[in-house]
Amino acid sequence: MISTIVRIGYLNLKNGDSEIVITLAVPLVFFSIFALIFDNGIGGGATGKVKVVLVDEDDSKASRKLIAAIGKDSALRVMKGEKKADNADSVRLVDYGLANQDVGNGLVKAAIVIPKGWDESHAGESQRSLAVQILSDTFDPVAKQIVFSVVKNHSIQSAVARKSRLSVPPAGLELSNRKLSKSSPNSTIGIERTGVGNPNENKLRLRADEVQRSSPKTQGNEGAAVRNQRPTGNLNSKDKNESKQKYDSQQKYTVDKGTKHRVRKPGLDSKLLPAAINDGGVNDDKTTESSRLEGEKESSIGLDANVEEIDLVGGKKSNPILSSYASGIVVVFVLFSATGFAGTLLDENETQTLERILNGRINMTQLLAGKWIFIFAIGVLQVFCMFVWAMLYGIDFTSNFAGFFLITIGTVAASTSFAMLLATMCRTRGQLNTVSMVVILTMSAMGGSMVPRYIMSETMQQIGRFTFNAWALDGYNKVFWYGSPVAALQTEMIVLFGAAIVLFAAARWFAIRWERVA
Amino acid sequence: MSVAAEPINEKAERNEQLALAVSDARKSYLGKKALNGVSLQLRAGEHLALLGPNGAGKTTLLRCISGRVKPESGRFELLGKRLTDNNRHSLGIVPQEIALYPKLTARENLEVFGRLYGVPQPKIRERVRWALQWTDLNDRANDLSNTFSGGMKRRLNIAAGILHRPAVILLDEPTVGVDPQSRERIFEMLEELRCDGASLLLTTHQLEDAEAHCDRIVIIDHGSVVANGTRNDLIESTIGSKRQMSVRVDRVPTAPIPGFTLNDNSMRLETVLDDVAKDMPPLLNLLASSGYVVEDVDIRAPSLQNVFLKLTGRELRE
Repeated sequence: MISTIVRIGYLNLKNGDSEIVITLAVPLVFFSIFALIFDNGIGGGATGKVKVVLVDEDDSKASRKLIAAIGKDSALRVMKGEKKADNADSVRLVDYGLANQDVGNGLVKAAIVIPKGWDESHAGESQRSLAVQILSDTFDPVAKQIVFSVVKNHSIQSAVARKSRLSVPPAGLELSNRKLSKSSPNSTIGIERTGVGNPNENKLRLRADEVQRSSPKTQGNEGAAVRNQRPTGNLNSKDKNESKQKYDSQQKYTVDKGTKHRVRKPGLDSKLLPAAINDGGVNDDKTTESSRLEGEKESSIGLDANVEEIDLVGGKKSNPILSSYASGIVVVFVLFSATGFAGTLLDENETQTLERILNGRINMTQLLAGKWIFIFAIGVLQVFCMFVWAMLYGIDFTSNFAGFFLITIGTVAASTSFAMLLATMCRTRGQLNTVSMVVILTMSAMGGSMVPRYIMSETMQQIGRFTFNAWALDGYNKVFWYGSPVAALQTEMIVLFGAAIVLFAAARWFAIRWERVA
Repeated sequence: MSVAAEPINEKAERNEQLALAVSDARKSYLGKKALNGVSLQLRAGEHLALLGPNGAGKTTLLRCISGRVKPESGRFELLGKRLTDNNRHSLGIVPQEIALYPKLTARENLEVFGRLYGVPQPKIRERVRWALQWTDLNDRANDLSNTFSGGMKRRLNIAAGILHRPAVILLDEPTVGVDPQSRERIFEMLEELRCDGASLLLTTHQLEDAEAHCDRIVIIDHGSVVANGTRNDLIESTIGSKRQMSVRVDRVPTAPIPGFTLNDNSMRLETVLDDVAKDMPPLLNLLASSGYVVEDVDIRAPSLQNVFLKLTGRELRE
């Protein structure tokens, strides 16, 4: 008897038109998609390049060298700007205002700024050395870390190079390439200092291999050959607030009320040098952010490679991942519910209700339009319910309501048309259920509803552009994270409404088969 | 969408000649002829039964009339005018499937189909009220249709197709799958429509229904009309006025008896009589003289079933 029940199960599976596909093929499809995402994306060593712009206000020899090294780093992609006319090898640069604007609008992930007077501030016994600034957008935390690591690395090397230009070695400073080689055979930079008066400067070992490890893409080793070192006193005592005030006074930009402003100093970040710096006041805490903020302690190492992070966009906004996921979930569920409602066409066809309807005074275009409007209205309601609920988690859709409304109707319109296309292409409800599950989950995976697109490889990000999930999420991110005005949503709106029209037209074309058998 | 439904009687009077006429309708599917020059006429106020075995072309013909299938050739006229998409709404179409929304109540179903068929908004309530009464579903008006019995669904299915008071109604197997009481109720409803002057063209597998409730019968087979007329016309033209006589005797005959057909191991003998009064006595005398005792005599008039078998060579349900 039991074997008969087993056999019934087997026969149902064998004879079902979709069960085998769902059971065996769908998992393979999804594994393949996520394999593509993760194999070439995060964890695969091929994370997409971070889009940045560069600003060199100092325009000194040192700053040009530093900005060139940063710009040529393979982890970064310099998005726009002009090269120096007199230097073909220079990188593309923009002015501060444009950089500020591009970061604020989400066009680039960060702007790297060398402020005016930066080189001078490191000369002599100045107590006000200026930091290299990163105008960042914390929406993409991966990009933020990459940029920081790259800038930090090159800043350190620049600092080393600057120090190498100073000819008088400090008392007690000993450069020991031999020791360096022993301690780290792969090292390309080695500094060891001992016996300096300042107890915090007892020992310093720069290990470029550690730096490289923290930023695998980092290239270039300018200033790698360090020879004579000369401490320049406490160059890292610059107060971060003073730095900020200075820029404010120069009216380079206005720092928002909620703008996060953080100075990381100096060049030897504990994450970058996890094993090397373990005493002498250099904090060796690898895990806490606080250690990275304690610039005063780190300053004691004597290398001035300050990097200052300014969060232009985040401020007091809620977690960007949260708003991004809310948007992602909304798009997925709007698609699923739209497909469910569009499937009533197939139910009606199977029961001849569709034929009865078309025998009346309504034509197919009117019928599809009526269904579209209903599904669209339900979708909009669904999105509003979702985001009203999301307000409990700090996502405020009312602050940029016009943008939110436009992106919502664009997204729901495209989803509705897409669902209707799927329904008109399929023959039965069962077929629709299988096809929609595979297609929607695939689109969601590739479009960023399941995994943020910024962790995908460049190729996968571009492929994701073929799904309207990606455009919808980009639109919602602009609304929630960047607070973009309606005009800034133009591209997303064109794509989403264009998709809605084209997909509806395609659905209408497929529905011809229900109108009249030729 | 909103066109006033004219009273059926007015329509019928205006078209005294024919409610529906089909001439030389042809349609093939993948080289197989589903309709091979079908012609038929439905008179105003007439109930016409379309009979035929499965695959004969009945449903294809109805779908050509309703516009869901495009015929390769043929002429279709409705109320004296060429049938087009512009006047097709004067047809009432009742599909074989229960084409209702299961999650809508009876009243809601009637309302939505009334609107779709162009019943003016002010008249919707009145027509729905009439339909509920007509179908005897008043007490279930607010129940979901998926809670109804098969017969109730059938009645509601018919009502949903005629809310706009069409002059011509096409019914595809309107009584399939319902019990005898429900069938009777459905034909009572259809008879009421006849009183309003509606013309009905219905397909059915129930020969008794066709005989009892239809004025005329068209038999279709292999895409062609093989017989057309009233029940008596069909019997007369195919079998004639002969009667079937069945005689049961006291034992199984061991040798052939002249004038009778023997059934194996049966005490029942069969024969056909051209004239009952004249032919029956000699046959009974022959049996008596042969030593058989006649226990029972059954004389039957030819039925539509006999006609159908003779014309198509198949049972209707094949």
